[in-house]
Amino acid sequence: MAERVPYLGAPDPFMLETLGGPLAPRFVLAPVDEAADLGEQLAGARFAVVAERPLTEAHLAAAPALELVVCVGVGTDHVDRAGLTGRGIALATTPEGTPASVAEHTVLLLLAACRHLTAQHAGVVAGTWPKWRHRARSHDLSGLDVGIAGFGRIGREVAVRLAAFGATLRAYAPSGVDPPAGVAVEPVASLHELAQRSRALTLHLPLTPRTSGIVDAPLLRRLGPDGILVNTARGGLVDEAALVAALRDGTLGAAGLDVLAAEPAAADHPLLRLPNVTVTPHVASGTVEALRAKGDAIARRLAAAAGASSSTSVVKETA
Amino acid sequence: MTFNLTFLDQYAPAIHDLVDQHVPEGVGVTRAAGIQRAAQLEAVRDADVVFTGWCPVDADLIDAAPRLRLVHKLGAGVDKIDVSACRRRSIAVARLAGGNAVPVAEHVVLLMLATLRRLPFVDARTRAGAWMKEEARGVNRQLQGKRVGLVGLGRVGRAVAERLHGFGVELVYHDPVRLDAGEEAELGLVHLELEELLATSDVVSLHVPLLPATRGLIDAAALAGMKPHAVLVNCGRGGLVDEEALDVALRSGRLLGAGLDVFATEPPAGSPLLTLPNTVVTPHLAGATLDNFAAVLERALANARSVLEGRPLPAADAVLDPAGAAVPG
Repeated sequence: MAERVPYLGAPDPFMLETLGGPLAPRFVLAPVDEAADLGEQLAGARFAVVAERPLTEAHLAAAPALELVVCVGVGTDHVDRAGLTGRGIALATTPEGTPASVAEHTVLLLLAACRHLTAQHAGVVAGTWPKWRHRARSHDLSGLDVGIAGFGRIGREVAVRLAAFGATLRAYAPSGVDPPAGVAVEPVASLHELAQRSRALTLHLPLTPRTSGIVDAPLLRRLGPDGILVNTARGGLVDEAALVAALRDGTLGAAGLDVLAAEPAAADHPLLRLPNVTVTPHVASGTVEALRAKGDAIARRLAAAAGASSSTSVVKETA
Repeated sequence: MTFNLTFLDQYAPAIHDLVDQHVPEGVGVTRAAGIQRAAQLEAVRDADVVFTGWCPVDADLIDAAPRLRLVHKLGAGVDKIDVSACRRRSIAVARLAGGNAVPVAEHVVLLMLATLRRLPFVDARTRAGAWMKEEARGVNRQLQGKRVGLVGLGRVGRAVAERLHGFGVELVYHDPVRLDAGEEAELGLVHLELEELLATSDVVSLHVPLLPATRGLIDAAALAGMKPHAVLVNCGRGGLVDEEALDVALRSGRLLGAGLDVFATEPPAGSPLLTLPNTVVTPHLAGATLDNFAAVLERALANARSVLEGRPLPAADAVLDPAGAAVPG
C-alpha cells in the first residue's frame, strides 16, 4: 500500500495528478483537511509536500515522525522554518521548470505592454475595433532599451529570449552580471543607472529587507512616460502607491505585474483598476510543463529520502 | 514635386504629426474623415496617390478618383485592393515587401505566448477579483520544448523563426518554395509537408498570402488533422481559416486556443470567436507600431515619387507598375 504524504494545498484534481502522478505507486499525496483532526492525518507522516497553504507549528506538533518537507516551487515564506530547524527536519524546494516558464511570462508581459494587448483584446470583444487608437503608443521590442534587475537563473533566461528580439540589454545585479555565451548584456553599476538608461525594466531580484520597496517613485520617473515596468519576481520589491501614482499621472507608461505586495489582491486594489496595467495571479512559473518537472523532482526527493536512513536526514536544502 | 496624397485610415494624432513631419512641402494631404463609404469616396476625389493600411480600395473607390496614379498599401497584403480595376486605368499598385516584418513577427510571438497563457482572460478575471492561481496553473502552457510550425516562410516567417531561437523550441516550416540547405540550417528550420506540419506541431502560425489557392487553407479537415490541444496563430489573413470550423475546434477543446489578429470579415462583428476564453484577439494591427511608421512612410513616399516621375518601382514592392516590367501574378 502506498505511503500517504500529507499535501498542503487545495485538493485540486489536476494539481494532485500532475504533482502526485510521478510518486506512484510508492507514495500518494493526501490533501490535509484543516477542519478535521490534524493528528489523525499527520501522525505517521515521514514526508510532507507544501504547495500554496502554510505549514505551521500546529502541523509540526501533529507530525512527530516528520523527516522531510518538500515545497512546490522555490518560495518557503509560508513554512515554519524555525520549527523545522529545531526538529532537524529537512526542507527541500523544487526550482525545476521555473526559470523557463517565468522567463516566457516576463517576455509575454513586456510584449503585451508594448502593444497594449489586453486593451486591444477588450476593444475587439466590445466591438470597437480599436485598430488605430493605440498605435502612437505601440512600440517594437527590437531596439528597445531593456534593463534586467537581478541576473540569476531567471534573469539570464530572460536575456536569452530578449536578445533574439534585438532588444538592447543592460543588467544590474549585486552579485555581478555574467551573460550567457553569445548574448550581449551591458553590466550597469546601480539600479538607478539601469532605470535611467532603460525604457523597460524587468525585476528578477529576491525580496529581502534591502530590496523591499526598492522600485520607488524616483526610480519609476527615470523610466519615463513611455516606460514599462515588468514584475514577475515579488510584489514587495515595488512601492505600489508610487507605482499607482506614476501610472495614473503618466509618469510611467505601463506595467505588467504577476505579483503584488499582498496576495490574493484585494478587490479594491487600485492597480486592478488602471487601464495601463496587465495583471496575472502569480502564475509566471505556473505552467503544466513546470508542474510536471516539479512532480518528477518531488518524486526524486522523496525516493532519495526514503532510501536513506530514516533516523538522520541526508537531504539538503536545494533552494 | 506637387501632388495630392490621401490617407484612408484613421490614425491617432501622434501618427498624423509624423505624417506632417515626413510629407514634403507641395504635397497636399487629405485624411479621410471616417471609414464609412461616403467619407472614403469623398477623400479620394482629387487624389493622385492613395495610401491605405487596412481600408479596402475597390472599383467604386477607384472610379471616384479620376486623377489616381498610385494605390500604395502600407503593408504587404494587397488582397483588399482591386488590382484589375487599377490595371484598366493604368494605375500603379505598390506594397511594402517586408516593411512590417519586425512588428508582425513580434506580435506573432506575443499571440503565441498570450494564447498559451490565456492572458486577456486571466487578466480580466484577476481584475474582477478572482485570484485563479491554482486553476491557471493547470491550463497554462510553456513554449519551451514545443514544436512550432510556420506555414509560409517569407520575410515575416523568417523574422518569427529568428525570435523563437531564444525560446528553446523545435522549428518546422512548410512553403512551396524550399529554402536552400544553408538557409534552413542557419534558421534552424526543417521543411515538412503541410499535413505532417499540422499533425505534429504544438503551435501553428500562418504566414501565407491570401490567394484563391490559400483561401480556407485551414478548413475543418486541416483542423481535424492538427495535433490535439495545439494552438493556432493567425497574423496573416482571416480568409486563410474557416472560422466556423475553428470555432467548433476551440469549443470542443480539440484546440487549446487561438491567437487571431485577422478575421474573414473585419471588424468581426458578432463573431463567436471573440467571446471564447481561449482566444486572444487583436484588431489587425500586427504590423502597427509607432517605431516603424516613419520608415514605412518614407518608403511609400519614395515609391510615390517614382511612379509620378515615370520611374519603375522597386521589384519587391511592385504589384502593378505601368512604368516597369510586367509583374507576374
